[in-house]
Amino acid sequence: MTIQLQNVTKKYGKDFALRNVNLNFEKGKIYGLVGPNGSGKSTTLKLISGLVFPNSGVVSLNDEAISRKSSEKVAYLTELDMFYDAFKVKDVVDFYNSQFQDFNYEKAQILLKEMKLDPNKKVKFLSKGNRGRLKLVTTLSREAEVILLDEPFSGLDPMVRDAIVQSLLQYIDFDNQILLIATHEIAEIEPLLDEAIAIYYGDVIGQEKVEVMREELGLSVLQWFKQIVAKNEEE
Amino acid sequence: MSPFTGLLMRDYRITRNSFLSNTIVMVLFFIFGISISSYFGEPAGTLPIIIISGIMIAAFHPISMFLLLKTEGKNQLWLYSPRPSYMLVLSKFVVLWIYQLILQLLFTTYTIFCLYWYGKGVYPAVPVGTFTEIMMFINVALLLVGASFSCWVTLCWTVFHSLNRYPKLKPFRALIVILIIVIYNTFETLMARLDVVKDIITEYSIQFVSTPSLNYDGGGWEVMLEFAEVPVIPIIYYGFMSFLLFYISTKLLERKVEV
Repeated sequence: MTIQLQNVTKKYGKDFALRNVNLNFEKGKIYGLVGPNGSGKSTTLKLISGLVFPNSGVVSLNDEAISRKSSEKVAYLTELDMFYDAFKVKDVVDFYNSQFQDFNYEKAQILLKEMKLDPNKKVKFLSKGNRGRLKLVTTLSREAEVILLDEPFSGLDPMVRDAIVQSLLQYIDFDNQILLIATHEIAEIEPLLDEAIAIYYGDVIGQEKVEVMREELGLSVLQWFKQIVAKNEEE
Repeated sequence: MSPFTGLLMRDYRITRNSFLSNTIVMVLFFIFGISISSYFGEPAGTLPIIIISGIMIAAFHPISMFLLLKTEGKNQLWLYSPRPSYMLVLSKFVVLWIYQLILQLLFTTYTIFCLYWYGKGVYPAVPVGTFTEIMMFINVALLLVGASFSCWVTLCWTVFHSLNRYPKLKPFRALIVILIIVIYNTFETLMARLDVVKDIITEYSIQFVSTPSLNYDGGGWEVMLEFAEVPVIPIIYYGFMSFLLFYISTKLLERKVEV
């Protein structure tokens, strides 16, 4: 199973969100898309989930062009607030369960307990941290081929961040899923990553295996990222 | 729960509060009608309330659809779905139809109350069979008119959001949507003036509905009912147009709309 972005360009108005990007993601790996805010990380995930369409180039999953239907195979956690205020926590879970065949209802119940979410509480009364947890429940309860997490730590306190990392370690099928995490909070995800991809204002400026970074280059992901950004700016 | 039931439940949950508000407003409006008519001793005063309520019900579906789409436009969850876009839109139509039916039930009850009890002296004594026929026609017409306008609303919404993708057109999105409506209506009006079209329109008709009006006979207001000819061809035409608008909207939603 692979996800491919071939010569993908995406513009919002006159601005390039992505400029002629080529990327390849393979099964069994955890990728980190790193870059500052507005660098194109979220757009990359939205393109893979079929929420936005490229201006040019092709985004494909298993050699099939991505469409809205691809969400069947792609579990996506958006950085935005994606819930309806009128829903209770259990309504959100029930809705996801009705829409996605790969949704594991039992797993969702376990995750709700672990994340200490009250199923009867209305979404509009949840704290930001708990809304983040609920997003994670809906995403991790799916046994999808691809899992996309867009800024999963955004605005969350260290306790919640730790809970998210633990959940990822516990509930991701590392052999059969592709996991893409887009974040500018690099240190949080570094221990999880197989590969890091640096996106800098629409351009992919680097891609490296984390093992190589640590063992051969003697760098953390953050140091590597800073180094290539500096190099890119010099050029 | 099947995927479509899931969508229906979703749309029901996000709209039930506004539906309840609408229902309360309508009931208050009915009470207001009776109260004012009683105060002035003119039972025929309930007729304008019936007419305005009918218009309100016809507007309920498209206005609710617009508000629903506006809510969805702010929420990425809607289009992140493996369901075909026609199903996403259809569930909204169905939920709003059910709400509309409930409102129409209230409307029918109020009309019965006015015709056969409160306003018995000023409304013509319509036989129960004829009244049933009239109310069935009005109720079906309200459902179809509401849905037809909703198809236009959905098309306008999808065109507006599709234009997001074209930076040069983006500042003119609202204008383009208005232009589409104006051009279509001008075209339809011009076509309707052609003799050949006029002949087709009036080719088949059914005598079905009564046209209510108020008449002052010196002693007070009375309600007059007249039978009217309802042309069949325009009904078929608007049905086809609604289907076409719905189809175009769902295709735009699937391929062009980015939320």
